[in-house]
Amino acid sequence: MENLIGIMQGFQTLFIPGVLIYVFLGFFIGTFFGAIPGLTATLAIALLLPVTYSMDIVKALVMCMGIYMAGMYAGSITAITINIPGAPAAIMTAIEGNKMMQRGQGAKALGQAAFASMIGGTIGSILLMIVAPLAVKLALLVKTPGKFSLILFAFVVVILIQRKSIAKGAVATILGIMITTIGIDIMQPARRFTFGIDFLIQGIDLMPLIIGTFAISELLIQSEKSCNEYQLVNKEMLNQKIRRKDFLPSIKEIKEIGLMLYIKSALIGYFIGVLPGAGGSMAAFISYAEAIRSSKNPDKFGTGTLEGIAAAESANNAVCGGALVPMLTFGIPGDAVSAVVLGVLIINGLQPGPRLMTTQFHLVAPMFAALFVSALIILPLTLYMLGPYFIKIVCINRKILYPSIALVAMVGGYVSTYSTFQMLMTLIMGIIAYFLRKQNYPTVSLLLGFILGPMIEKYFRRGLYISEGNPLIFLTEWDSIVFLILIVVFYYFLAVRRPIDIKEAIEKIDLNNLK
Amino acid sequence: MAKKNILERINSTSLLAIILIIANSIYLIEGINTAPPIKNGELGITFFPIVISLLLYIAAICILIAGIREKSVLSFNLSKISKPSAVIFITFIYVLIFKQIGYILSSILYVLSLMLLFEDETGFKTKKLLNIVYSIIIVLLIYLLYQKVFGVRLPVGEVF
Repeated sequence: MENLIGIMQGFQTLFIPGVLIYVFLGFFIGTFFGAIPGLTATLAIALLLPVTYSMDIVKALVMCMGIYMAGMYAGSITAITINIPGAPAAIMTAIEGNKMMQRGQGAKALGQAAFASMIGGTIGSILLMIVAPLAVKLALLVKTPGKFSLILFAFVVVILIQRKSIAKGAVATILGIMITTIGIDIMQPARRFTFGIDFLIQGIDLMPLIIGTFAISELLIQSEKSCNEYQLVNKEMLNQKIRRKDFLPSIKEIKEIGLMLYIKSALIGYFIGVLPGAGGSMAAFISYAEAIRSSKNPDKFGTGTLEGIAAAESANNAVCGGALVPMLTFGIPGDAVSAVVLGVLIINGLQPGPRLMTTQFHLVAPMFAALFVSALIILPLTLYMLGPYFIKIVCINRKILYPSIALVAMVGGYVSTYSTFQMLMTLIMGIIAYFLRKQNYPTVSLLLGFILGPMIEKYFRRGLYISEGNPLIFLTEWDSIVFLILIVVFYYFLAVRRPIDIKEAIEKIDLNNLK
Repeated sequence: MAKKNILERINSTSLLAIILIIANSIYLIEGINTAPPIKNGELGITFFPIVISLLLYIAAICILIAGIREKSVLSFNLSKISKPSAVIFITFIYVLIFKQIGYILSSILYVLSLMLLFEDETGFKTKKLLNIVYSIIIVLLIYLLYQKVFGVRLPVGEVF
């Protein structure tokens, strides 16, 4: 009851015009970044990170929610129209949607993507409101040894989820942890890993790491690309003629797809969102594969079906609600966007965890409301009003776009501590992330390692301090045992026994058709 | 077919793994030199970092072996890395001059340089004067956003 009142107050706060406008603003920013290939919602929040310093935290958080929801959805715009997914989560949408586009059914595909995103996002938000307060009660039961094992569990899942490149996932995660060890020790006033450089005593701030990893590395990757492909894209896009009413999916279509498919995909997306490091692309992948498995006409998939779009889009938007549960209750982000939102909280002096959810629920509740309103109201509203113009977003001259991003990123690095040292760190982190990305090392793992690194070290050392140096404390305390068992279970399912149906379904999909 | 020697087997995967192993060794040596991992039966400040460093060796060696087994060889394409290198260089110069000549001037030069870099023969070509106008507009818009809207102080320059 107390939580329900808190959430209602969250809605009340959200509907103050001065707050609501930030959700709309975030939604437009998210749509812009989500629609343009190469730009993501993660990058949008990373670039906005420095300005959140001087913003009211509630406004900053609701804006992030708008970006999150829009970023997940907007990737489908270019995925459908020009076969280039604006975001990784829209890859499956591109497979089906662009085939429809080629048949002259582009608007129908766009409308279906929006409708499914609305359903998925709404279900995800409702589940977040229900599950998060319950998860807090569980989080309160976890003590120091359990907290160590929980973070270890998160790391193991983040690494195992990389499937084909587990070693690369491990390297990226460990590198993230290593970077956090530079500077002053977390428990004693002693310097370490400064390599004789005095500047390194201040350590590496979260902001340069986030901005460098997501903005500067993207800038370097984009600088390799020729303008040729962008010109081609622009010509194709300008030829699209879409009317407002074309976006509305008919009742007949929805009935043919079946409400159960939307709901099932949303649930898959939500639970994948809860897993650390999984994210929207995996949710879309798995729910798409599940849609093929359970379909009466599996052969239709890959030829341009609404079911495929509905499954993928419903799932990737439901991820938003799922990913916020572990982030807010345990301080463990479910995906890259929630990891950067965690950064927003930390930078503004808030430590996610059960205490935040109990004592400062008034700051968190508007986030829940913003996610819900973004999915249920703003998403269809903006599609209907601005849908025909969405496609023109992508026509922006990249010669202006990327230098602007570079400037915002570098100034953002400076703003974190008003020092050019952190600016330099932004550049260095960007270069490291660039080389890692070129070799398919997951940068999300690097970020999670950086965020959770100090925590795992703290709980590890504190655990051993409590037990007077006896490491068996991690094997005898029940809260720790639970997470260690979970590690074994997840290892079995993710590394030893991979789901055969999904694997087969994925093999059927011809990803090479994508540009 | 003659067997490849170890140098011929190096490709981008194994090269990055080797760099990681070298960097990790520097990290480990620094850790050992800073403080002993265990002192008087208690964990020191370098115990945990040394443990993760050892784990990194295992992962990096796995990648190195996988890289050596790959069929691809190291190909060095100068044209492919010239633009990212130029972006890095320009950004580095920007960091150096940012406080010295102030936000406005350094940022105009930075944005203008990047605009020229992102413009190639086949791309969007605009007149040089227009490029300057665009860079000034971008820099001023971001200045307004940070300094006026969010109240962030940006450097005015120490030289002038």
